[in-house]
Amino acid sequence: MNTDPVDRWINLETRRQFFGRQAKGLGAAALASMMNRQANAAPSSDENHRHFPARAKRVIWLFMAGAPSHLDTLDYKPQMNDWYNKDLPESVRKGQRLTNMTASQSRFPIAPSMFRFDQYGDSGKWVSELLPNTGSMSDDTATIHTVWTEAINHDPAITFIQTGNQIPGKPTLGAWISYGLGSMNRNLPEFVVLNCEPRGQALYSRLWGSGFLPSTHAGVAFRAQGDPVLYLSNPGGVDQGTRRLMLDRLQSMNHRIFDDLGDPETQTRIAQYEMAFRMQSSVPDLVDVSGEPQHILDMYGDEALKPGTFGHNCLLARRMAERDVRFIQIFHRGWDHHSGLPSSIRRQTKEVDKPAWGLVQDLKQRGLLDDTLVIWGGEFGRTIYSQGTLARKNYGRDHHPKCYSMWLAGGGIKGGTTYGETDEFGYNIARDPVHIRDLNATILHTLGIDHERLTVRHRGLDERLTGVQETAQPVSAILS
Amino acid sequence: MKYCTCPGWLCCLLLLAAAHGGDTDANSTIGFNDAIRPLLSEHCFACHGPDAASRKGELRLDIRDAAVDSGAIIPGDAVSSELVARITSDDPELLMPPADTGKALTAQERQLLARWIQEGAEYQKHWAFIKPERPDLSEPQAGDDWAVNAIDHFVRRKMQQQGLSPNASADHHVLARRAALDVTGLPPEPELLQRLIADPSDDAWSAYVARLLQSPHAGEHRARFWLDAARYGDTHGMHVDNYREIWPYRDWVIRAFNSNMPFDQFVIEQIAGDLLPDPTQDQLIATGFSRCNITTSEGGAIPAELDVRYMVDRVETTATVFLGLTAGCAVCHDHKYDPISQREFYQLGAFFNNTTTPAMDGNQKDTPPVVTLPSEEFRLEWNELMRSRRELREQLQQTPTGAAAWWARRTESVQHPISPDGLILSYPLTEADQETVALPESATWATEHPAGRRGMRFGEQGRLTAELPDFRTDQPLSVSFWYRTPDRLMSTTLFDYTTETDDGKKAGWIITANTQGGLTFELHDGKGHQIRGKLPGEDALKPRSWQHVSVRYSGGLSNSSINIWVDGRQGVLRNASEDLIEAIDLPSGTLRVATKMPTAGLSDIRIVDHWVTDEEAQLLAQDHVLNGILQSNINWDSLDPAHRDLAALYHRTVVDSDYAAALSSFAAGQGRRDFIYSRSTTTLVMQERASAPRAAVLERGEYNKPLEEVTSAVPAVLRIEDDGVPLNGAGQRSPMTRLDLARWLVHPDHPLTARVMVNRLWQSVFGTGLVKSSEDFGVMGERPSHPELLDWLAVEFVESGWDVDHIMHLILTSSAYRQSAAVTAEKLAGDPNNRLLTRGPRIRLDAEVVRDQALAVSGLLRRTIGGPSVRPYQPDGLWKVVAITGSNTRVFQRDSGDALYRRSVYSFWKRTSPPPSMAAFNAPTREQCTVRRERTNTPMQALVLLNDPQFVECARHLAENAIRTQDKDAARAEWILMTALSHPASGADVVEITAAAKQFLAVFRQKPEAATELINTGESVPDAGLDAAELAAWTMIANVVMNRDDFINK
Repeated sequence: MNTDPVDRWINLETRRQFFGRQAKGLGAAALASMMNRQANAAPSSDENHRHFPARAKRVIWLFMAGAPSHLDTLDYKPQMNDWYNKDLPESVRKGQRLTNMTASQSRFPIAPSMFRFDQYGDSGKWVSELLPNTGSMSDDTATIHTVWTEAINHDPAITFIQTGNQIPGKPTLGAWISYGLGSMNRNLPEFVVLNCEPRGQALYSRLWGSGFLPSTHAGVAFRAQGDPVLYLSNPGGVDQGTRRLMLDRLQSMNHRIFDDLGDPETQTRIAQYEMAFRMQSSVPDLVDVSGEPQHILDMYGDEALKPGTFGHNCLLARRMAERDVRFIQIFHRGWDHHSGLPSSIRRQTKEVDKPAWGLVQDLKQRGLLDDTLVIWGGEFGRTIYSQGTLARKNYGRDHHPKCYSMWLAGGGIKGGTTYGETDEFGYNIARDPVHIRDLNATILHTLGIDHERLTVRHRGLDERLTGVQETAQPVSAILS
Repeated sequence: MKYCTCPGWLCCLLLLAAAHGGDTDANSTIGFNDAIRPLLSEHCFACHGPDAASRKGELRLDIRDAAVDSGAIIPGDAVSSELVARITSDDPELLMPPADTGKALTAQERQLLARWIQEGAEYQKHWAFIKPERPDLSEPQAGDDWAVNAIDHFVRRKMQQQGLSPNASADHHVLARRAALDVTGLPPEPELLQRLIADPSDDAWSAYVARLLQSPHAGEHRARFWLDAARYGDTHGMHVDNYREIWPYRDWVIRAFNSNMPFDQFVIEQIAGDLLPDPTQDQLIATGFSRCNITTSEGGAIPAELDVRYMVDRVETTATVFLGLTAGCAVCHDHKYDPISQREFYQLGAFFNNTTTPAMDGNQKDTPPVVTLPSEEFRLEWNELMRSRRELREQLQQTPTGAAAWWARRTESVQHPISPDGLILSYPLTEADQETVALPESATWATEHPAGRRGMRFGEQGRLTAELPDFRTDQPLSVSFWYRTPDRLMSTTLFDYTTETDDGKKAGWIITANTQGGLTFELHDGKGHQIRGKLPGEDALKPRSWQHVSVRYSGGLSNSSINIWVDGRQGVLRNASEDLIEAIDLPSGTLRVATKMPTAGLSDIRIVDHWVTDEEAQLLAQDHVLNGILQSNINWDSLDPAHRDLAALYHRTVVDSDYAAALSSFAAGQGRRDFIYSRSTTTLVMQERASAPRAAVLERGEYNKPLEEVTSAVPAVLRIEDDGVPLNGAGQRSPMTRLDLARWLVHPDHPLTARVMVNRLWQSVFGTGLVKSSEDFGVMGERPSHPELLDWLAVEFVESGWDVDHIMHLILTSSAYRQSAAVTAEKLAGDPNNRLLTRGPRIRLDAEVVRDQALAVSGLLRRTIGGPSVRPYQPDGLWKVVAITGSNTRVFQRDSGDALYRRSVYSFWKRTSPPPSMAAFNAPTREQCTVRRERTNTPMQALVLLNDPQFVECARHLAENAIRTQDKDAARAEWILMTALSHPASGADVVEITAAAKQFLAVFRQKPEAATELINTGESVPDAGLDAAELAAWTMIANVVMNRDDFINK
């Protein structure tokens, strides 16, 4: 973008003469060429923050809100069967702080996972019977067993992993990426959020907010109900023809206003109205899955056609990836299993296992997986000891920030790898810790961004996603 | 190690510097604040600045003595100064700043530093920490005829320095609209506008601005900015994000601005209104400022950690709003740039650490402390009730002294410590007393009660019954019992006195326990309403043990009329919402006891028809201990202290008749107190603990790593000599109170508060402050564009008696403000962002103003001031998609009628999902303090204005009014443009609109059903007397006008 104000003004003048007053029928195509999505936003975009070659162009984050138990899904601890209902040794717990929910518990009896684990692929990863499809793509995924965080409760923890800080107010990962890399498409937002059916722990609009970055970088939450994008539909009785008629009149008047006052913002506004008009067709086209063949729908599970389900959202995520949406985040909720974990986690994993697999396979067969990073995981792990009632087939698990598991696949990721190891209790990290800041640094790295150099001056500090003072390191062992 | 590392070119540089230094031109002296500090802050202070922890090489450059002592700077001798050697070194190991910081000095900057050292390396205090002085205006200024007031002198001088000149004055219509929007957030009233147009004199303009400032809507508009800063919201903001009632604080802010309350008073009342002598209700409400922070009650949260979070938020907010400083940087370590040490941060924290507010907000609207604001109906009764209860409490606080004497001559041997008056049911359930009740078969006698063999354990069937007399639900009721929890906690019904009414509604009360150990008391009124007191799992009963429970209901017909005590301690109930029921008669009937409770047990069930006092609840839980003591022969002084306390408690509660009488009077008033309280508005306020303010300095800000304890104080760099803090007997300063802090903030010698506020007033008008970084006046903040103007305004503000309207009037009557906003290539080149004020302000309206203006021009605006927040249109499902089950803001229930058309300052602000049409226009979430909104230009904004039913409905009303008042198309076009833009229509626009109206009319004539659909957008009913197609066509026209760039901009 030309930043010299005089040049910009002269450009605008030229365009103004070109489109002139008689250009009432300004078509979308004509205006598209002068589209300037963020004329008023802070310096950004145009991939000016790419520090080295990117392996991924876009990211799909499958966020399991509420925190899935790593012990029942990805982190296999067979020795625990001998520890059933025995107390977690103090030498393991080391007086670590507990949430107020189990701090008063008189004992901490170990609850071995009741689920069978099987080995998959050449990599021989152990994955729980709850996630057979996830298991079957083990050679495509990198599994990290040692993700950890400091936050011990949902609100601060999910805010932390999303923004790099437990206290609300910082930009989210998606906003940073939008800021750092800008848009790859002209008709859709760079950062889209897809929420699944409300269940369990809360979400907050700050989880896709832009913090102190310009709000153009905030995620746009697509909705399962009503307009997919807020206020997208014309009011009743107004079709696109009438809208076009109206916009042509509006644009003509706005050109006259620009003639009078010469404010460049007026030109930007004219362009943004055209963008809005284009979104009125590009977004419905995006969410219309009626053209998807049955064999594709089948890959995404039983609910691929039902809006608001994880399966449907995975399918939309693929359609967005095809249209070059930069950062797509799906929030699947209901993983906070303090009690009755086995039955709840069965339902949860059934909902996500097949569609997550389907998404990866579908991206792969379309050649999109090479430059799309897919991530699966939550905000923290869960305790090996039971919260409340313990039986072989019924137990609960409290929040556990000290270690948990995630998988990544696609652009920049070395498939079949396993990184990090927890102790036999799945309680402490035995080797190779990956702080959530390291995870975020890794994600940025796959996109070609050095997390230490993606900074914004805010209130006197050079703010980064990974913290002003803190250190973070991409996990090179899982990078291809 | 100071051999000459200096390359040849540096010597040249220094020669040059020396030559300049010897120059006789006094202006050549390099100003530290202008030229040097910015270089040092940007390149050096991160490692050689105020932060002791990250300081490298023990070198500090922000203090002259330290820099000189270390040899880094040798005043007058740049060549020998290590600083110069290092910034010019060839050796990458030695070169400063180090390459890995990514920072580098240019040759010109290096030269500047060298010259400054050569000239003597004079330091200056950072400009913002020096008290502003009124600049001299006596010199005649060029362009004086342009200047209306002092503002213009400074603005003009700056322009001239840059070779620029001002724009001509804007058209009067444009100006009238601009000023009305800036002062009231609404377009001008037509009569006021006409009067102004008729008289274009300066005096008329001045009067017009004064009239605007008098408008009651001016306070609403000014309050809006303040509410961003105060992070006001209608929900707690975290986790469950339930409703929080604090709108009376919002209304207080509006009233304060409307009455032009002196800003110093405005500050004092918000920071410390509760500490003023005999504070008024309003002064208490004002302290809501420090209660607007986001809070949580998340199950696993650790209170000590939350207390630190809240304290940090309050310090950051106070520092940003009043001092314009980023104090938050000093939570973890000394500030890297500004002279605020970590210790000083926590000293500020001590001011806010000393409140009685609990860490967990209880997910309730009225997290204490609150002020109660009863409706007119109850106000007198409430005040009287409060007065009598205050007296009773004072009486009760004087503990009777007769306990020891009574002990010596006591004759009691109590069966039970509580008077049998009002006893409705007593089931001792002891083996000794087994005749009194028919026992179920599976019951067995318990053996492990702390009082010995007492209590009954129930088998599978459970179930005792008892007949209870009739009862009115507005009468008090207390149920106490010993409860042996089951071996494994489970869902159990302990007491059930409910029946079903003929139409299937429940009536009566029930006490249940759940699998988490929680206890719940519910009372149903037979009309579909119920109230509930729930002791949540975290606080509740332990499995496999005997515990004493007292459930109290005061008769106040509300959730908050219920308490639950466990083992003599009052539990914290989770009353997320305040539900209310009606008073009904419950006929006599059968109470079912212990319906489903295998392995659990009960003993000593007592139901009384009054509110058991706190003292009685404590005695009931220790009756067996008390009996043991009473039957002993130990003399008073030899009693175990805990036993002596218990005996004394018994003495005053039961034996001392005066005390007991006062207690029972107090208890008797409880029901009425609860009844009125639960039907009143409350608002969150501050209340100080009796102890002196303290805080612990925390290692890296972590709550569980205290380093040292500090008392309250303000940062040394901002300390004011004569700040009025009283001395104690030894002549030492007493620890500062929150009130001292407030008075310090508005001390006439304070260098920051006045500057920071006038800067924000300026920002609200011109879009950018004189200091652009209005949140940061520190070393890393931007320097003011017009330093003298800022100081002049700050001094004027203080000397005018902190008169906000006076400053606004000055700004709006200045020539600078009245310029046309037209942009030319020359202006764009010389003053691209209008920082030199070479044209009038033209900026996009804020979210609220965009909406309020649409409501105003359509005639829909309801101008009522104040009251509970309202829920206008928003798309369905937005709250539900984020909320946790059980949140009372999970379902968005849209209001109807007038509430849809109130000003946006009254829109309900759910902080985890703020109103979407506001968010699209950059309204903040109000999760943290915001003193500067960004201003973007996005397609989402276009979609809101085109399609939001609120705006479509406004367009239709504007169209209706046009059709009703004007016959001809051209006249309608003129009328709509004039009404919307407060400006006579241009010929071209009228032609455009009349042509468009014909097109739209043709469309809707062809599709009458589309016309009907369009004009029925929104709740209000379209005027049936108008032709639907015509109204639809003109609705589209109004929609065009209300999307025009000059409608969205001022």
